Amino acid sequence: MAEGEHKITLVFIINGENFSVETNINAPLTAAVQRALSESGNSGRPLNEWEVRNSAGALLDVTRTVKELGLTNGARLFLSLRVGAGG
Amino acid sequence: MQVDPEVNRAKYDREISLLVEQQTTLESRLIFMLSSTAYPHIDLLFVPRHPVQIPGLTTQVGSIILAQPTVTFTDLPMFAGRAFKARFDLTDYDLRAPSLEFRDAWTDAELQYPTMFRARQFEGPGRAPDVLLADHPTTHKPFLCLRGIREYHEHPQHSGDEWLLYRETLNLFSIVMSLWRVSVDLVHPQLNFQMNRMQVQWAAEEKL
Repeated sequence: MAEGEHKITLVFIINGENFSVETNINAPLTAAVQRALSESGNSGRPLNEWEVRNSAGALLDVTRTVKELGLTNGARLFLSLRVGAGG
Repeated sequence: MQVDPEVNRAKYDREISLLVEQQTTLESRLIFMLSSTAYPHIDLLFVPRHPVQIPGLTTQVGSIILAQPTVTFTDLPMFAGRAFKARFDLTDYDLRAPSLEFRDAWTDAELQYPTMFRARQFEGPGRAPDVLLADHPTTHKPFLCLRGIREYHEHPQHSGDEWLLYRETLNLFSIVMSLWRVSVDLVHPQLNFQMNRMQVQWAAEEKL
């Protein structure tokens, strides 16, 4: 497989703004999430306070690789802070 | 008003712009900005997603264990919960979080808790607490108990969880998406028939 075939672009939507991140399909999604948070200026909170959902609203396990998650080039992912349950 | 009116208006306009930019995303979730939107309010219509479910009994037969009836739920696709209007008030935003109240989509009357939808935050198997609560100690209205909502941060029980800790990482778009998730996407209305009455319960299920 050519080197370029290992890389895809994911589009993270963070607070309504789009951030495109290129990532290796064999890397855990965490790596792309961290870059997206850094580029968007949201590095102030720990990674475990954020959650990633796909366009269908399904919660993604960020420890899994991009390939394992079945993400394709241009996939739109929603990265948001966990808002917790006040109760 | 604590925030300079020009600053507040600029921030309000910014939030509107972000919602408009993500209009396709919002509309794919049947969230619509209404024409009643006017500073400092933003009105959004939320349309229910899941049909009402009714219980039925099925029998599972095992080779050794006697048949045990279990309750399963079946969709009634012709019935669903009611659409509702979420009115966000951005007065003093973003020094204060947006305030949120719930209104009837047809009459604009404030919704009353006993007959409202329910919202639940899925935390794990068997753990999905209610986050739409009946009576806020200050407003005495139903309120959404989630970070990002003024009524949460200004509730006496959450005095240590200030909005200012989150305002850099939460905005109205993300708050709207959270509201949609706990009140529309993850909850299923289910009818529960009892002796002389019928109850509506709201089951929560995470999407994985």
